[in-house]
Amino acid sequence: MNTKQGNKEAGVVLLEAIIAIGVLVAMVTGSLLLLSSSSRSVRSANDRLIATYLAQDAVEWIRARWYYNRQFVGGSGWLTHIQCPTGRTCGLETQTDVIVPTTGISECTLLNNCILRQPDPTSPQYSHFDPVSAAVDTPYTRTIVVQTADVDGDGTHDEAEYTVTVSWSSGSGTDSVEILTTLYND
Amino acid sequence: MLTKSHIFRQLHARHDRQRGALLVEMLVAFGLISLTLVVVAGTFLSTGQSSRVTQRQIELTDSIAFVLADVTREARVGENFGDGAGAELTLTRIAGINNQAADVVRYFIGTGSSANRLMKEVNGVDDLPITPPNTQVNSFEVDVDDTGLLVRLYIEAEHVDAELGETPVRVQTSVAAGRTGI
Repeated sequence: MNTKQGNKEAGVVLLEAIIAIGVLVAMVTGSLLLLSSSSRSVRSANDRLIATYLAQDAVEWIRARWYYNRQFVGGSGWLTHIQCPTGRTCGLETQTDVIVPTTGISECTLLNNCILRQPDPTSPQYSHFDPVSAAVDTPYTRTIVVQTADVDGDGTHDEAEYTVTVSWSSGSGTDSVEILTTLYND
Repeated sequence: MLTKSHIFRQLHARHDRQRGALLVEMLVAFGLISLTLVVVAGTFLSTGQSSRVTQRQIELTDSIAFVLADVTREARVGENFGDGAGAELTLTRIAGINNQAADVVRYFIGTGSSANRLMKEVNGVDDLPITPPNTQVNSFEVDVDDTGLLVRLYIEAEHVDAELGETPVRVQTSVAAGRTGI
């Protein structure tokens, strides 16, 4: 009888030990996961910084071209080189001059499907072009969608809304940043 | 009939058996604890490594964000942009904005003891590094648009303690001059 009781007690202690180890393992695993996710979030913050500046890159080019159009083209030409067909997704090569852009805003099919290429030593800037046939694609894709409106109803566009989206593949799927800007012509 | 000595003997026997069980339990417990300690210690060694990488990335991101914020602010209230040979940015502060004078500001990569650091100079003097010593600026490329309305910037930087496998950060952006109405 005493032997039986002793065995039962030993069984209980073993069960307790197993549970305790289980709890310990869960704690260690939990803190590990937390650490790895924090280092992942730092990496994603880095990607986001680069993506945000790439989006700003396009917005500023559009803004400069809009100013140039209003100063030197005038009239209905206020959207020269910064227009995208309705319902289409476009891109912009920001490394070309504002006055005589090689393409300006044009459809993604003409711009490496809007994928930005890897900087290389002779031409390091992010670009849709491949000037040396050595550039490789970066994780970043930059697209621009333009919506025009005729607010005063005079039959011509007088407002254009630009949505610049930079998306990139991260550890867990696709991430993206978006910048909206609106230009007017009075 | 249970005598005093009988009970005593039984208790003694039980006590002995239990002591044996306790010893085994203790051995198992110590074994498990040491195993856990080894795992935890190993984990801490590798996370110490990755947290240093994380720390470097944070420092690098901070330096680049600071530089771009400063250059953007100067360009917004500047005019007469120049890009030298493509590796520097010069501009004149538009006099009158925030009571500022027509100072000439110049950004360039330093030399000598300031090598690989981005410098900011006002009116040809007061040149100061605007990146911390832990940030190594590999390249600073500037292209002023022919219209003078847009400044294209490209910066590549890495941490001075970067180890193999840590890629430099490449940031590119443009800044439209303040007079474009931004």
